[in-house]
This record gives sequence, structure tokens and C-alpha cells, in this order.
Amino acid sequence: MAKSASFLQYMRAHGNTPGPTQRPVLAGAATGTIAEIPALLMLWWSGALSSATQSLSVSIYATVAFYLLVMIIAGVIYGRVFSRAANDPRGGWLFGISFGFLIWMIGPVTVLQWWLDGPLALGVAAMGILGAHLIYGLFLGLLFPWIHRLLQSEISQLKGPGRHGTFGVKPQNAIQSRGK
Amino acid sequence: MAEFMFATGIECSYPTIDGGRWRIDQLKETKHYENWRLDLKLVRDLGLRYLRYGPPLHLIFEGPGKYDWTFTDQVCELMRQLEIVPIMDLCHFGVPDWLENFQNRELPQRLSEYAAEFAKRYTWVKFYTPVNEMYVTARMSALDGVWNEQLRSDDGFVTATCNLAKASVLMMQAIQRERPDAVFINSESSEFYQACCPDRQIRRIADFENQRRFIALDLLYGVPVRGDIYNYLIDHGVSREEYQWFMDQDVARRAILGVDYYEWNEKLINSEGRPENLGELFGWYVITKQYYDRYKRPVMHTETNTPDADDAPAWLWRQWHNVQLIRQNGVPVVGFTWYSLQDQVDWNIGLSRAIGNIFPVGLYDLNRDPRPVAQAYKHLVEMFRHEPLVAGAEVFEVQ
Repeated sequence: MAKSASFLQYMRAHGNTPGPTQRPVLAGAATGTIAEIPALLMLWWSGALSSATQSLSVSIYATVAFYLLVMIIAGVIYGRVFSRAANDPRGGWLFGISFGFLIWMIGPVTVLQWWLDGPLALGVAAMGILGAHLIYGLFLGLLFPWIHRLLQSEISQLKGPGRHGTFGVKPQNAIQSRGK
Repeated sequence: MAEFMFATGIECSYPTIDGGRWRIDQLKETKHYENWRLDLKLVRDLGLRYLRYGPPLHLIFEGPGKYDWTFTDQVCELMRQLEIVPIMDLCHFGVPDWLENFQNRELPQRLSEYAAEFAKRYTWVKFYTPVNEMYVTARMSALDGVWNEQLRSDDGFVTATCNLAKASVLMMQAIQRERPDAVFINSESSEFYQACCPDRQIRRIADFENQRRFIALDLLYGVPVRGDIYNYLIDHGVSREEYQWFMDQDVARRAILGVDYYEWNEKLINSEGRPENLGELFGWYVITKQYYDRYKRPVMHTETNTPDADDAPAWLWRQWHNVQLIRQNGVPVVGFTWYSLQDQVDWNIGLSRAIGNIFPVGLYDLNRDPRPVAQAYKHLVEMFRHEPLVAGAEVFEVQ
């Protein structure tokens, strides 16, 4: 119990409470879109793209479209989960590359192998898939703080009490209180 | 008419730990040395003018008559450009290495020399906190054995308390010689001890602690201590002449009592006679009223925050409502402070070790991104910015 409480405190300190000017989901989607370009080049260069296309038994366009969609969603998740920590221009690259490694573990190594009942790629192509995810994570982590800054508003432009409402009471709570 | 003082502060503690081998410097930990220009801009972005600011004493005061003002000169220049009104915090939980610690009998004189030099150099500064939270400084350094001299003795606590109170008096006098209209905001942590049970010994401990919390301010403002506390002071090294010296001083005239409040300030004396955190039992209103009834000074809420970022806006408003109510009931509260501007580091363990834990209590995080409480505070300030100061408090008006 104490451990889970301190973990929640840790997450609040570092991640999961975005500030009023922040748009972590949008920033994650935008950064994910950009970060997947060098990753896609890596997949193509290492032959992983054609290997994956064969394994999935679809056209190369469908493979690319699937990959682009998944990586945008991954960027959104990254922004939502690590919004505050992801904003660190110094440590962001480490967060990002770790996140890239994590989605490689979950995606090509676990889920796709289970789905295909075999590896997605072998040899250099398999290394290319790992490399592509690390490159994706690195670019995601490096670029996220800067892209987020472009999308954020200034605190001086914000009007009103924010999502916590006036007097610190969230509007829905205030309505419920009156109804009782 | 003078306006109510809405403020924030830059966390600047600099105690030593581990037998003096390490110095915790919050200005460094929170990256203020790199981001001071941005930090000052963020203060203004929130619509605030007043800023509790502690220049790094341990870096400035290099030795007797030796000062390095390089950093502070730059910061002060920008403060003036941005029309920020600083409340200069001259000693915040630590002293330079050459002054050793709060047991040093030379300390009051040396700190008064520093205060005089400071006031001479920055003649435009009107608001000062000579020594921040004297009780906490003495307790953590000489009774709980955490910072600086790391003693665990009543002798040590009394010596530190007297040195801190005497330093405050001499600093206030030195500043007033340079700037007669200076205003002093003596920030102190508001404390309260509740006995857990009707056990006579437990109640005696709670009662004693409820007196001990006042000693430093009693000495500063020349308020006679209770008989048993007088004996406690004498038994632990204060001479009758020294005590009388405190009673003969008159520095309270231009002083505001700063009352800091956090959810861990109220403590329960448990059945083993040990203090435990009680949370918010009576709240800022009740505890502050106890301090006000004793000292009859104008009051400022000089520090508050909460580490739960989601609960912070509600905590902010709760503190503000305390201020409103106590003002309605006749206590002259002149200002309110959310402390601090940025998150702090290792305060969740009372700066007892240098681990690097982020304590998410700031209006902004360490990337200088605002937390929800920043927007809530900005909104509060916009709503109440024309709140008048109290009648008769024109002496505190900023020119």
C-alpha cells in the first residue's frame, strides 16, 4: 500500500499530471509522426520492411500504413503517460529510447510473434526492426520537449480558474454537492 | 491605498549535512542559477510582484569584509527592470563554511555586518527577512541532528535559538541604519502540538513544545517567556543579562509576522511522548491566531504548498479562505504566498540526504512548465488583486 502510494506520488511528480498549458497528447502524435520517418528509413535499409511485408502477407503499402498508425499511437501514449518527464530537454532522449525498446519488446517480439506464430524477421532484418524502434524512441525523446513547447500556450494567456474550478472545487463536484 | 501582497518565493535553502561534508544548495538543485532570468519572468507571468528571494549567503559572504555580489547584482538588476518587489531572505537554514554553524557565538555580529553591506549595496530593497524560520533552523540543526552542527541537545538548541534571534535583532538594526523605512517580514513556521491522551506526562510534553515553538520570536520581539521556559533557557546556558538584552530591544515596530503553514505543521504527541504528523487538524486560522494573540503584529502567510499536485489548487483556495476569514475577524493579514515558484528537491525527506527526489510543490516544475496550481493562483490573484491592505498599514506600502 505504502509502495503503491509512493509510486503514485512519483508519477505525479514526474509524469501523469499535465499542466494547464500542456498538450501532451497532441505533442505525442506530432512527434511520433516525425520520429517514424528515420525509423521507416532504417526498416527499408535493413530489409526489415520487405521481410515484415512477407510475414504479414499484405502489400508493402499496407505494412507502411500499419506501421505509421501504430507509431503515431505510440507517440500519443508516450505523451500522455510521460507528459511532464517527457518535457525534460536533457533526459528526454533516455526516456524516449527506453520507450522505443519497450514497444519493440511488446510489438515485434511478443504480440506479432504470437499472432504470426513465428518471428517477424530474421538476421539483419530482425536487427533492423530493433534499430528502427530505438531510432524512433531516440527521435521521439529528443524532439518531444521542443515540439511540445511550440504547441503549448503561455500561462499569461490563460483565463479562468482551470480544470480544477474556482475555489479548487471541480465544477462537477460543486453541482453534485448542491444536489444532495 | 496600499494593496495586498500576493507573493511566491524561490526555494533557496543551503544547510550542510553529513558533518558539514555536503552542502545542499536548493538554488543549484532547482537549476535556478541557470534559469534565473526565466524564473523572474515567470513570476511576472503569473501577475505577481512580490517575491521571497534568498541570495546565496554561503557563496556571497566569503569572509570577514569579503563579498562576491556578482550573481546577486545581475538578479537584482533584472528584478528592478521587471518591477519585482523582493522580500530579501538573508539567512536560510545555513551559513558560509568559515562561520561554521549556528553554535558560533560570532554569528550574530557577522550576519549583521552582512545585512549592513547588503542594505548599503541595494538601497532600493525595502522588505527583508533577516533569518528565515529561526525555530526550524535551531530545531533541525541542534535538536533533531539533521543539518549544520547536527546536535541533539537542549544546550545546542538554546544556543542556536539565541544566536539566531540575536542575529535577527542586530540585522534589523543594521538594515534600519541604512534604510530607516525598511520593513521586516519575520517568517516562522507555525507549529502546534496536540496531546494524544489525558496522560499528565504527555500533556506536559505537548505544553512544553507549544511554548518552545515561541522562544525565538519571544526573544526577537522582546516578549517575556513563561516562567518554566525562562528556567529552561537559564538551565541551558543563557545568562540573565543576555535574556534581559533581548527584552530591552525594540525591533518589532516595523515588523510583520510571517506565518508559514504546511499540512505537517500540526503534530500529535503520541503515547510514547513522540511527535507524529497530524495533518491539517485546526488549520492556518487557528494556529496563526495563537501567534497573533501573542505578538500583536501584522501577519503575512509567507509559505504554503502541498506535494499532491492534483490537490494543490484546492489547498491553495483553502489557505486563502483562512486568510479571508481571519482578516474579517480583525487580524491584519497583509500578504499571501505560495511557496515556491518551482518544484523543490529532497524536501520530502527534510533535506536530510542528497538523493535528488523531486518534491512537486511548485507553481512550475523543474522544466519550468506550469502545474495546475499556477493557473489557480493566477486566477485567484486576478480576482483579489485589489484587496486592500489593512487600515493603518500604510508603513508597509511600496514606493
